[in-house]
Amino acid sequence: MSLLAQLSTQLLIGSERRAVQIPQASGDLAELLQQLSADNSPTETQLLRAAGALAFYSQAGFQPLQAQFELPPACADETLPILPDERLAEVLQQLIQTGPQRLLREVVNAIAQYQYLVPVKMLPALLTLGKSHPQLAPQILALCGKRGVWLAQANDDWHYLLNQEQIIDKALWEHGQQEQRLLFIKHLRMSDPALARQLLAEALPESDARTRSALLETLHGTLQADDEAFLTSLLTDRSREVRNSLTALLSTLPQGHYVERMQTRMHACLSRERKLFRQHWQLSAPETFSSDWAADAIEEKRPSGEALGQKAWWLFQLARPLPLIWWQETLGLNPEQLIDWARAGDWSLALLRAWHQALVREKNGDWAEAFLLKTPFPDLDVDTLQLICLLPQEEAEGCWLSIFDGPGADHRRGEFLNRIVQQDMPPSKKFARAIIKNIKKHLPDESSKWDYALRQALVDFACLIPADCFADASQGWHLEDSNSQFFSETLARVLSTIEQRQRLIQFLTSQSL
Amino acid sequence: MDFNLDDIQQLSPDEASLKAAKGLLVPAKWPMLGTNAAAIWGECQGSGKKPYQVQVDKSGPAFKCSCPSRKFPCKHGLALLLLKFQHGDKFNADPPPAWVEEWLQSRQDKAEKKATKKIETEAAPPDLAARNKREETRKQRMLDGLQELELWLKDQIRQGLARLSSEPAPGQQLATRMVDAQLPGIAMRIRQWPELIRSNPQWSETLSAEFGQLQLLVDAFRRIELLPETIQADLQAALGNSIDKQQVLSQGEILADQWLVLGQHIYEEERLWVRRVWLRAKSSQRFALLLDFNHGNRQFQYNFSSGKWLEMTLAFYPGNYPLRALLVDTPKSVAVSLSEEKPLAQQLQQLSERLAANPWQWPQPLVIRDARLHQERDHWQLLTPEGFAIPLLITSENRWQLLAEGGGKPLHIFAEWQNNKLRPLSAWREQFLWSLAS
Repeated sequence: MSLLAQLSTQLLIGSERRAVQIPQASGDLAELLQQLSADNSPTETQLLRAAGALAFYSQAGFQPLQAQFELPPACADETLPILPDERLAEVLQQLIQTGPQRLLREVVNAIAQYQYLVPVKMLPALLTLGKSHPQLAPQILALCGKRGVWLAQANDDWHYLLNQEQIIDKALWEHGQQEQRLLFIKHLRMSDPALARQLLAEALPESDARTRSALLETLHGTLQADDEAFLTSLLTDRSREVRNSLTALLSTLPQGHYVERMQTRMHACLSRERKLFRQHWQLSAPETFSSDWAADAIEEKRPSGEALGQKAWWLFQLARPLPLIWWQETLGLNPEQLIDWARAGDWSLALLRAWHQALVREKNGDWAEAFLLKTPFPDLDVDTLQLICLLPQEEAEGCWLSIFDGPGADHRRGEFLNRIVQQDMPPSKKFARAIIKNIKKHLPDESSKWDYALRQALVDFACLIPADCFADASQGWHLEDSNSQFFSETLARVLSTIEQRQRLIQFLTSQSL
Repeated sequence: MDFNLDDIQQLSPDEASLKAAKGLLVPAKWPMLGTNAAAIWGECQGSGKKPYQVQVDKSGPAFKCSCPSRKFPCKHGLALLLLKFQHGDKFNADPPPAWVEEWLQSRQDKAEKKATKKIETEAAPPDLAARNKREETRKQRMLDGLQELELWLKDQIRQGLARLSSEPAPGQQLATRMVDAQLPGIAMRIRQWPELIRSNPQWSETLSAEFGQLQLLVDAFRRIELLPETIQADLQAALGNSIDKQQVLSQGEILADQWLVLGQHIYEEERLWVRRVWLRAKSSQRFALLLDFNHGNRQFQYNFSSGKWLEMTLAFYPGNYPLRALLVDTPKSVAVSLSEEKPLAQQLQQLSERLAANPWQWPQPLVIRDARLHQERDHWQLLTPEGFAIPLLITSENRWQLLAEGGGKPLHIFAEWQNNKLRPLSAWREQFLWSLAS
């Protein structure tokens, strides 16, 4: 223990409670300490002087301590080049700080595609970014090189990156948090679907209802015919939430036995009648709840608050999993005719609700169009904007334009534009120009000022518009009007987004040469 | 001169102003933009009918804007500089409008008046009686302040340091009192305490050392007349009474050389920005410190960047081991290659000599050759090739940046040494790789 440490330990308690001994020194220092306490100053002052003298001596004789640790090995040299385009590196840095996220993803992907690494000084910010954007982790792994992986080992917050390399690490599945387990299953489904299924089968019995449901939801998008037997075996689950997840999954297998059984049941409800000179399809709801239905998770009892009657409720459940094309082929009618036919019958609400759910599930553009043409649907919760999003692009753009020009667009342009950008599809030139023109025209309106969603949506839109429209988006905004002043910050962001996109385009062009 | 992004960032009074300025980067919002050799000006459409008149005098730079903001410079001034940087082509070269002319003229008039007044004051015989009286009052105020400091220190010793461990920032009220007593050097030292003792297992040792050294400073000042002149100068500097710059330039030791900018530390303390630029002479290997203060923003005369070589002449403040210096002429960039760094033992030997000559100088410059970074549970240290470990004072964003640049391989580190700890300011190998972000 150093002399100063001996003294300071005693000073912790306070000289009024316990007398302090000035430590014994030797040589010049002892002499100095002696001199300092020679006068008749108060004890505290003498102690302070001794502390000061010891401090000066120990500092002038500063000798660091021997290290009691070993360092991990240094990072290996990189084999890939650093991004040579400094301007794009600058863009990436700005995007990490302030977004927009959509363009950030695009830039990260572009750099990863051409196998460049980011400059070392950007590594901490990039690694931190991946923590809040796990979906970018694979690209970040590519961008940060060996140095990034080496650095991530030293920081718990960046360990996610290491798991990228060993994502199929069963420890995560066995000991990880729910989110990690779900991610693990999703990844495993890509490489070894059967093993993932087997792990699920083992885990489900010991999980609670919510977890069972969440685990099953991970199968969306990777379902194959050989998964059906497994899913069917679970249909008698105690929880309705889990059964709903299962029926939703089974409905996405149109060739499966489950859908086939439902078709047979629906067939039994259909009959043909001769009216005048034509054959006409008649639908009658089931009279009783069949004993084999429960095995397919058809609910006998209506949930409380259900608008459908008892028989209509059964009919709805039979109709819901059926592919829409089955109705067209079985009845020989197109979607619009089918809607007319349903409306003319006794069970229209059950059918229309089932079809609406099916068209969302199938992302069926023809049916979305038919529903739009046959609007309104009282008693049915139909999101018109969602239907528009399901249309083929050209038709959707036509619909959007008439909505933007329509009387209901005030206060809602931001909301509409948000729906459009969420499609993540570059709009056509004509459409992009028309939308920008419409927004410019209505900018001085009082309603635009309160349309907060517009401020972010327009920046996102600027991320998607074709390069030919850059001039439209950056020029011709009339901000002289005091009512348009609110817009300057948004416009500044649009301008900088377009500049960033131009840099990205320059990079891509230079790379493809 | 033209302003780049770094300059503009430094001129900004805070982050929010710069962010607000970025929201004004819309050429359509600026019906008029112009520039000439002396100034930049523009009209910015605000929420009112009449646009704001924004102007920047490039010499200085000085700002003026007709907006009511109390920030200085305001977002319009910053935005004008950003626009000039990003959209220089949008500025016309027409003669400046009357409001710009008038302002520039009035600035020039003022400057001339000031110069005339200065000549007059210098020519006028000094009123010795008045000056002596001022000095007398000042000295009395300092003595009173030191007495208060001594009393405070005594109380701490009597009641025990343990009490202070629960205080988040011990002594900060005392620091304010020291400023009032015209002892800014002591105030600065006290304001370092929270950082020095934060998560420091030897905090009581650090505080004892600090308290004890302040006591010796009090003792020394009381008998300052008995001490040699150079030590008197060191004492005054430690208390924060710097001597007149003109006097340093005319009487201080003058040294022309090629200087390497080793590193710089810029930080804010109660709205006062402090900049320490550390230099080392090529031929004599001597260290020099440029110490500057600025109220309100971090704008300092001349921007230094670590790793650059500058040919210039410095005038040293008097002292027992002169370190602090002033620029005599305008620095000129030169290309010089880096030389080898001395081993730790020699560096420590020199540190010891500097401390022995002037124990009041803090912090001290120190170069650690071929060091590597080590971290364990947020405790960061430098490992020297001789196998020694030195604890570091470094913020979390900076430490990861430094670790990334090193990649586990040895780096030369320049740091400020204080209380047996190092605050790294720059790092290099064949070239400079990292410098502290402030």
